[in-house]
Amino acid sequence: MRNPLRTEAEAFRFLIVAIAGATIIVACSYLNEWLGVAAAVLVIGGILWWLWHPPTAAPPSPAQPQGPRPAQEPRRRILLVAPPLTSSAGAVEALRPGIAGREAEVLVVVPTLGSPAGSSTGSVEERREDALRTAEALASALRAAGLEARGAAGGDEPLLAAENALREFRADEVVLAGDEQLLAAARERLAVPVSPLL
Amino acid sequence: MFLFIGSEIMLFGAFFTAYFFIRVVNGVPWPTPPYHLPVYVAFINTCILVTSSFTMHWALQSVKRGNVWGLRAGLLLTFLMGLTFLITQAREYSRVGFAPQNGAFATIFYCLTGLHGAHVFVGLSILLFMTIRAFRGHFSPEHHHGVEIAGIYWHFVDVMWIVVFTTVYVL
Repeated sequence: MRNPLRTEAEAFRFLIVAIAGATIIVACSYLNEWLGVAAAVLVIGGILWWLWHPPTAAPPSPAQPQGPRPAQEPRRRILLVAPPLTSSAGAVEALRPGIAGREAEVLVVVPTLGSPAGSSTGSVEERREDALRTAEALASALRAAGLEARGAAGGDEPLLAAENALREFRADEVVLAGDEQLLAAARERLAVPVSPLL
Repeated sequence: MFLFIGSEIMLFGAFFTAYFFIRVVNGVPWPTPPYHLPVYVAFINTCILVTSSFTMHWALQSVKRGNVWGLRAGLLLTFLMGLTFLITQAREYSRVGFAPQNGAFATIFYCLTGLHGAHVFVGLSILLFMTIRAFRGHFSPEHHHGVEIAGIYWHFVDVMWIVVFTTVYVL
């Protein structure tokens, strides 16, 4: 289901849709009362259909030929979403092939992995501190490997953490640690390419 | 966010159910004679509120492009237009000629517009904080989540007003 209030841009688009729908209903009502009722049914039905049918993701672009990248290629921005206890060496090795020969900026986000009940009762602070420590350790390892990196604690679960981080960090790519189900869900929900952290 | 949307739909849904019950099931004339609704003033107010959503969107687009003055101007304009909307609505209440206790029509009119007005008030409070923070330089192209949330809320309030205005004033 499409969330019309996921971002400000989507909320603004939803407002435009609402104005257009209201205008159609009012115009039809002035012509004929029952035409207005029919227009209301159609418009509300159309909006509900639009909400229940999110846009299908664009097919992945064909693989780019491998080889040395030109020096003037823009800096790549990567969002790394890793669970606590991810090994620093593993993270560095996973990112290295995608950024070989070019500058990269990495935001490491470690989700707090708290339960909804725990989050709502405020008992998430300790887990947030653990997540922040892991994120800082990973970012430190990436900096040691020559990358520009910083760490942050994220939301309660990996997808939420990725979505929140993408609002502030416009990444070209998300590298996500998780099983196939999580990766498939991430590819459906996130607007940027997602690759696994092996 | 889904919990928020769900709770808001239920809240407004309860009031709209009462509205449709009074107007359609009970067949109460709308507006009940001899009262009149100030449709023209409400339309101008609607234009102000819709325009404020455009300035809110402009503020967000500005901060994403690193234009801090655009963000400040956009937020300030949005706040001022929201305030104008609320003041105009308060003046409308004082001049409309009926009170909530003057029948079911008057009660549901004040409930629906008042509920929305309360949301505008909350939105204005958020906008005030965001505007102050913008003038203190708290936002950047990378860090503007607070403005984004304020924008989502403000557009939501606008969408609800479109529904309230259409059903209560126009139809």
